[in-house]
Amino acid sequence: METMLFILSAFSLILTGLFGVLTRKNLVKILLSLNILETGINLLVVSLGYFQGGSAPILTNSISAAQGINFVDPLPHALVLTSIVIGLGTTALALTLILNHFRSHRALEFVKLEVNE
Amino acid sequence: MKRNEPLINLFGLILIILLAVFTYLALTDGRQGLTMLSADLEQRVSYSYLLKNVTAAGRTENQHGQAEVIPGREGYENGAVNIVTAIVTDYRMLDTFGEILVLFAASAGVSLLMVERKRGKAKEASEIVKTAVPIIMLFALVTGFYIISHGHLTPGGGFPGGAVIASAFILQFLAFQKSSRKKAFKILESLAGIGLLSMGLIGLYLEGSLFANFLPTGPLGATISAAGIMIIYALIGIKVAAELSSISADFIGE
Repeated sequence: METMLFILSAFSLILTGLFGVLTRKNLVKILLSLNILETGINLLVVSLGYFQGGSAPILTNSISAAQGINFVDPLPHALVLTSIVIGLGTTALALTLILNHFRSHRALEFVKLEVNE
Repeated sequence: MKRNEPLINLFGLILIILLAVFTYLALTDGRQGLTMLSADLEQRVSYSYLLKNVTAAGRTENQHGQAEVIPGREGYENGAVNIVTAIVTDYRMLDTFGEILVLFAASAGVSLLMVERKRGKAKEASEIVKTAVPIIMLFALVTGFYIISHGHLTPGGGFPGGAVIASAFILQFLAFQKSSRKKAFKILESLAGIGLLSMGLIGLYLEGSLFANFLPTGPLGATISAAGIMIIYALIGIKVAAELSSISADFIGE
């Protein structure tokens, strides 16, 4: 039940971001939409590792295969940790590119290239 | 151009609704036997990460022949109590190394592409800010070191701790408006990167696989344990802190 709720909210974030990427023209808004999309994907990946009633994957008591383990899946957490850091780097680089575009064109939107014939 | 705008929005809406339907069908497709939602923990890769028996040598069994992990004991293949840390810094360290390379490329790209620009006349920070910032910086640095050094025990580790340390330096840039340590950040970042690569190569030389753990793991759950993970997370923390500081110094400007 909770997993479906997570997936539903993740999908709404992903689709909001995708809609922004497809329909906006302002470069900063496109970058923001990409970040929203990325947040949704992170939430989706984490929610696929969720088990109802599972606790955080940190060993405080002894665990064994016989008793059954009541942890959530730790692998998506590690993947999302990677994804967040990469998202930060790409956002910084994209902001630099947008800044350069603004400095050369004085516009934050896609401009039509005028070719002299 | 303006006339087509509602049409473009409608087209985007239809496209993403189609994509949502297809993705939902793919996630809940049960024809392969299992869906992403029905797989139990026993059927996933993480099960052996949790029981620390990925390699045959790391298998520890009780008298009934079942795998078990008890905090306080020694001799597990990985010394981290926090399983996410165990995955990030040991089992899937190659992924993390690639991530660090991406972050390095982003940092280098920002300093390469950021054009020199004339700095506008900024108002000098007030006396209150100038007095408070060193104190807050001290707290932020201590918190960052704490998060990095307890990465194998508690949530956190090199990346969040590095970000906290970088926030201290960003505060300094904003309050005193100087970024004279840019070169030092670059040098520190390169040294940490070389250290990480040499950890991987020593693991390759001694244990036979890249980034294999070659240091003693110690008792599970002790503060000073898992030496390899502590060293790797300290290097990652230094690298992330230096990279984020240099990116923000580029953005704040000369």
